[in-house]
Amino acid sequence: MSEEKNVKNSQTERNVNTKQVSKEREDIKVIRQIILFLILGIVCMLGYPLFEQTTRIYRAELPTHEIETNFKEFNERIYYQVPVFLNAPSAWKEYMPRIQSAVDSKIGERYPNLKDIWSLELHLNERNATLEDNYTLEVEYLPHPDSEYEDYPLESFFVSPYSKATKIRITDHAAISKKSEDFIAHVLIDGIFSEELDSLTRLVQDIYSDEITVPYSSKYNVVFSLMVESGKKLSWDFKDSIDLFSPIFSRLSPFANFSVSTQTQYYSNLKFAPDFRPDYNKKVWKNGAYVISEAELSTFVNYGDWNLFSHDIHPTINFIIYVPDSYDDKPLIIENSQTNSFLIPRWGGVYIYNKKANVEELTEQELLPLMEIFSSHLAQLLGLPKNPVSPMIKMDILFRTSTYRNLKQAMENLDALVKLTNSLKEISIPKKTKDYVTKSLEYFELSLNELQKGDFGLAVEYSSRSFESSNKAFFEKEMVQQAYFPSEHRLAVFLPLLGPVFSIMLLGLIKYIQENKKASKEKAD
Amino acid sequence: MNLRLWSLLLSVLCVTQFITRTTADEEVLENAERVVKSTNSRHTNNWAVLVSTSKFWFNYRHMANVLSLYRTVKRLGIPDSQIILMLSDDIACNPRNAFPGTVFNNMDQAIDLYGDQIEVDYRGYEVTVENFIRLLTDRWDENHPRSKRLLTDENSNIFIYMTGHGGNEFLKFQDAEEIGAHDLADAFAQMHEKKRYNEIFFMIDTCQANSMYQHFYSPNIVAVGSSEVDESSFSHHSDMNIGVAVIDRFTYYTLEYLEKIDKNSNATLDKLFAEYTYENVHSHPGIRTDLFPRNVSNVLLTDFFGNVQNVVVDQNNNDILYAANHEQNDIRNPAKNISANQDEFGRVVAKTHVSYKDDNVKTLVQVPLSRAHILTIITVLTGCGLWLVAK
Amino acid sequence: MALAETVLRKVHKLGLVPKLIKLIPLISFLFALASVSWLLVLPMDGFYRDTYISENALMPAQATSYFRESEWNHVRGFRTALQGIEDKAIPERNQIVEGWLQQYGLKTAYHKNNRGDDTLYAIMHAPRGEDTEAIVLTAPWSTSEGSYNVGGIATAVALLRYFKKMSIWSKNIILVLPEDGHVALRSWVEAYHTSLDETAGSIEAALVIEYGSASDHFDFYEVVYEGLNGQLPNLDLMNTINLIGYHENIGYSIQGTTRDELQKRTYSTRLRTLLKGILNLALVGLKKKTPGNEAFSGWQIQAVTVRAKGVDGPSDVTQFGRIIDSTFRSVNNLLEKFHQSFFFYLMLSPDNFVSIGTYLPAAVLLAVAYVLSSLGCLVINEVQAKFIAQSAYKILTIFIFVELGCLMLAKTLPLFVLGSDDDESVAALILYGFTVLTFASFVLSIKNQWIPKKYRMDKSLTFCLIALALFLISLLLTALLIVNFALAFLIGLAALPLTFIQPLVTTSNLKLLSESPKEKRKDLLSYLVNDGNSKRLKIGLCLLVSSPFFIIYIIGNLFVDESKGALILMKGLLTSWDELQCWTWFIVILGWFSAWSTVALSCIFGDFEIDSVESKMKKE
Repeated sequence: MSEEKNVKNSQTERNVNTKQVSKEREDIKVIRQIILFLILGIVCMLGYPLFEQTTRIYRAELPTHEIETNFKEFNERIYYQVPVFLNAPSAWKEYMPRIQSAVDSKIGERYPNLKDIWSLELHLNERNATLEDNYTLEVEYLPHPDSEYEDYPLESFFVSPYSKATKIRITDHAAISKKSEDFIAHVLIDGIFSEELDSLTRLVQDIYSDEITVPYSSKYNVVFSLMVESGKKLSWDFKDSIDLFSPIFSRLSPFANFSVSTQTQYYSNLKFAPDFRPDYNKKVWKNGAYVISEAELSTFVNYGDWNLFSHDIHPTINFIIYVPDSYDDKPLIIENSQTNSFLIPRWGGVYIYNKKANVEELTEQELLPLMEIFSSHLAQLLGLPKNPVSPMIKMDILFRTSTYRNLKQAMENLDALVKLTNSLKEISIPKKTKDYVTKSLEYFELSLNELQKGDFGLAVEYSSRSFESSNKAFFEKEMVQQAYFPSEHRLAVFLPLLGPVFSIMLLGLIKYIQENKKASKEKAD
Repeated sequence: MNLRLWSLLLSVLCVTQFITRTTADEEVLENAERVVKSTNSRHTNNWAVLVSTSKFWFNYRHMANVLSLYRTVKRLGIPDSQIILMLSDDIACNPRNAFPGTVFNNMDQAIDLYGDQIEVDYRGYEVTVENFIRLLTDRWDENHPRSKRLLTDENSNIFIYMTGHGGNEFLKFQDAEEIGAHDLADAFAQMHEKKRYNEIFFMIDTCQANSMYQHFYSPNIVAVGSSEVDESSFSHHSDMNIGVAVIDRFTYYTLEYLEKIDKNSNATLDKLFAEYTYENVHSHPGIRTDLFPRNVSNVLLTDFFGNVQNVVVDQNNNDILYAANHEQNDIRNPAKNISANQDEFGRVVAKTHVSYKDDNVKTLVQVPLSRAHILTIITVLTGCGLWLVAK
Repeated sequence: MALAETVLRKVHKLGLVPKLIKLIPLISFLFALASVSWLLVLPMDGFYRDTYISENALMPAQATSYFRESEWNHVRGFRTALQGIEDKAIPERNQIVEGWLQQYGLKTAYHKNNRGDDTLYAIMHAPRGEDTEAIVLTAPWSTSEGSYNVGGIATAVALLRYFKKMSIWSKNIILVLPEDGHVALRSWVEAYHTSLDETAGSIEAALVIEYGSASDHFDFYEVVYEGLNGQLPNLDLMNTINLIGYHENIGYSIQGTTRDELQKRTYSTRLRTLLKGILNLALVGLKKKTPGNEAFSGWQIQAVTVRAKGVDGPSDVTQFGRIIDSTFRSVNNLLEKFHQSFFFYLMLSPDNFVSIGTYLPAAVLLAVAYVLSSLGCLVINEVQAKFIAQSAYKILTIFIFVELGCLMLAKTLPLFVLGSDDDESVAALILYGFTVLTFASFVLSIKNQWIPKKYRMDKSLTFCLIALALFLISLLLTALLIVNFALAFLIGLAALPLTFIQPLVTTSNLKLLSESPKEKRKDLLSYLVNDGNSKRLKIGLCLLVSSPFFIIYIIGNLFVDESKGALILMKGLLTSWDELQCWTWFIVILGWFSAWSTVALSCIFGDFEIDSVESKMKKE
């Protein structure tokens, strides 16, 4: 009996309790819910975006597709058409297609890789108009070959060293056997453009290896240094001597700019003492000579002591005139060298100039042969072809091959950049990179445009800009992925901070949902 | 009849044998040629990146390690302009140095490594992880001097040497930060992507060194480390006058071998690797070649330590200056400089005199294998015919 | 949950809680026992560690020392000259040495301390160093044994001359020649950091050298390393000196190990070194024979005293010099302050040690024992929380009164000693005073029925006071156990009898109930047989034994190898704060003695007998 009562009592008590509690809760509940939603709101609207903003790695969108197609279809996109004018009688007009096809087939046969990239476009220049900046073939017909020289091939050609003109002599021998067109094709392909075609073939095959050429840059410093072994005063007429280079530099200006400087240094000692050989080339050097063997030449330049480093950001081409002390009229000679000079690949040229003891000045006249050698060194360092003899054609060839190389490397760079950003997910891609990529692509198109127009100077200029922009895009300073820091680590770093906040929020949310459910149930009841 | 048949068969056999023999010989020759070719690295320039990462006087040996290798690569022909030397502390001028201005790597004090012409590209606090990564990937400020950059290209062989205090998959820099194995691997990947190297020889002398190259994934890298994971690298000996250990074991034996070679040496990498025994190094050096396509026994040490850069003597193409200045007044350009002759047309022409040759003669394309097959078939057919006739 | 519940139920059913409460005194004692055993276990194999050089930069014994034959002549020369001036006063001797030092290009200066002779010191600036750090070489004119430090000073001057020739120094070197290694040196160190004009940067390390004979040879060398207030030099420095000695093949001794036992490494030698180490560390600065290294405590200077032992033996004086030279080179190699290795350790032998993590539990266990016993005091005697709340005022008043009294003593007593000319007799007087006090409380606690009832405190208050006192000691131990383990452990051990008093009181009460009250016999035997009386005696003895001054007697006479040990210790206690800034006196008087006094007061004025009313209630 009493037990029952107890039970009842407790039941009523419980009822009262729950009532009280729920009554208390009503207003608090609302506040609690408001707070919950407020926090949720702040977290979602402010916290999450902030977290994203501060922890995200900026990765600009690159024109991946464009780069990839340019890279893959590079050889389809690039096309050279080099015009050649034939100075010949108008009667040749009918031969022109035959000559053209002979040339075309020769290219196709000899350089199958270049069939769709490079072609010669032959024109007949009937009136023999002077075409300054174009390739011309002056055809000369010699009907009667000299019988004196039977062994001597009868057809011949001469390339002018001053212009882009070439003189061809055709004899009956060829004319009769209808080999004239073959001969012209031979002159063009094997004579004039052979080095261009060779180097383009190498470039198409991705062979860049070049031991001598200085890496390409749109600007070079050229430093002429007079290194005097003794401390005796020696002046040199460098101004006029170096002026000789200016036509070359100005012609090369679409390819690169050159800034020239000079220096004179005294007490420039060698790192080693050269051998004295009393009977070396006795005919020329009566008193004997100090001889440097070829093996010693690679350590000839005293990089440490001679102040040769320019801290410029552009590559430097060095030309050194080394004036040894006269050693009692015994000269310093490079073994087996006619010119007493040598070329250091990718670096510059050195000339050892033995002067008489009492000479205090080097005149322009004395310096001229040196400058001639340096110009040859310069040509090799820049990658000018050896043939043909005409500097104009050489430079044209340099322009065209450089255009190809620059553009190809630009696209390779951009492709590498795309691959890199795809493989390294954590590396940032700054906006600057994207800007440079866009620029590079723009110049790429411009350069192709100029190629089509046949302006090889502008083409190489644009190609160089495209190449440099692609380099800048790849080598953007901010694109340094430092310290391996995967996203799991990042989460681990932030977890102690976010964990508690998040768990409280989650619990609050669950509670709220449960209450809502309960309330709706009660309503339903 | 029988006799004839047998002699016939014999002759057929002989002929086929001969033919197959020759083709086989040719194949052997071809293979041999390939091997010979593969020993020739196709690089055209050599670079060295030498890094010591630890500060402080008691890490004298790390500086000595790196300076020893600096001296060696210079001796073998890599010019200073192609050596990047990162030296984290100036121990030569440390007040504790009993011989101010010197660094020795042996207690005999025979060679002063700091003697002359040391060009340190990055010193002291410049030796940081960031700068090292920047150096490899060449990502710099626009005004960064060229002498402090690794200006390599796809024809460059790079020797990278690192020494310092390390642990599992990291190497400490300056006692303050560290570079991870992944960082290094990614930097190499970027170099490969940008064609910044032909081949890399990576050498690291630190505790648990082998862990540093485990994550490499770019091709053409051969890597050696001084010790396994959970293994220390040890110093070789101390100089009791200087009062510190002067060189590490791994580097000591590397140098001991390299001292024996000169610029024209034909010593190969495997000979150097043979020096890396537990007895010498007192730890287990690691060698990783799976990324390296060439067989290390065919790779010359000078491919990495030497320099291919040979000077070029007397290969001039003449008259450029003259031709370029042709349009200027003629007084300044004495024609004697140009080795030209006058042609009948009264104009100066180049001495280049390319003669025309009728090349109607087609070069015979040699196809030894197919030819052999045809010969075989013909012989067999003739043999069969003869046999039939005889029958 | 269910498991915990069943366990709780079982505990309840078996009545474990009251049983446990009854066992508290035993448990507390077991903790104290465990604490001691912990310490005894440490010298066993497998519990200690071998020493090693932790700082890579030190590189001890890696450089050849050239302090050899030619330098020996210089040492001999200086020594002969010094022997000649032994009779002169210190200022005169200083002048002569100053002349030598100046001759070698050293900068010299004096520090005037106003107690005795001036201290000469010389600075050698490192020519290529940064001039911000220094290493100190100290050679007091008299050794801690009181003899003329002729070998030490000769070696020191020769060393400076030799150092000056080398170009390896990154830190400056200072030579200090104080009158002794006690006040004179301490005041120089203090002045160096506060008022001296000629300084040479922050001192990284200091070596005090003692070579008290004119002999060319010595037997082995001893290193003293204890600093004030529980401070120890970095273990790396100790190991460096040890390693250098090993390479020089000289015997190395710590904690007074004798010649015969230098190489011995047994349990007993390790235990002896350990215990001596603890005792010496607790007593540092109190004894008369101060080695000097403790003068550098408190300025983050790693200092040790290196002492040549014996007048003949296998080692020569240049070897002694080479130990100093090599140690200096090692310290010179440092790039940062000593920070590797350990600052808190106990040595077991020159090659073995235990670090703080290993030995600390011993002190912790002891502190726990006090806490338990303090709790037991309240729980067993069923002191109500209400009562504590009510009489908190009373308890605190009594306690503060005691503490204030102690504070007064702490501040005034040293003044008496320092102010008088005959400080020893004043110290003796104070010691006797305290002894009388101790015995008085011993007697009174036995015969506390002599105290009239009206002055008696009631039972609960008594137990509260005892509990508070015990709690105070445990607090003291906890506060001290890291910074000064040795002192904490020693006090904890010495005051342990205080924890026995409460159980004795409680059990004697219970026993009294069972017996017929007020039965008295006159003879001593029956007096002792009477359980209540024997308990009283025990209480008194506990009080006597745990008194700080009784312990001073014990330690002073047994462990201090000086005549009138207790007196010297007392004097040391009283003067060490003023002279050396050693805070042992304050810990003893304000912590230990105040707790002891509180317990003593409780025993004397406490009423342990059961109120008649209460006993009646219990009977029902």
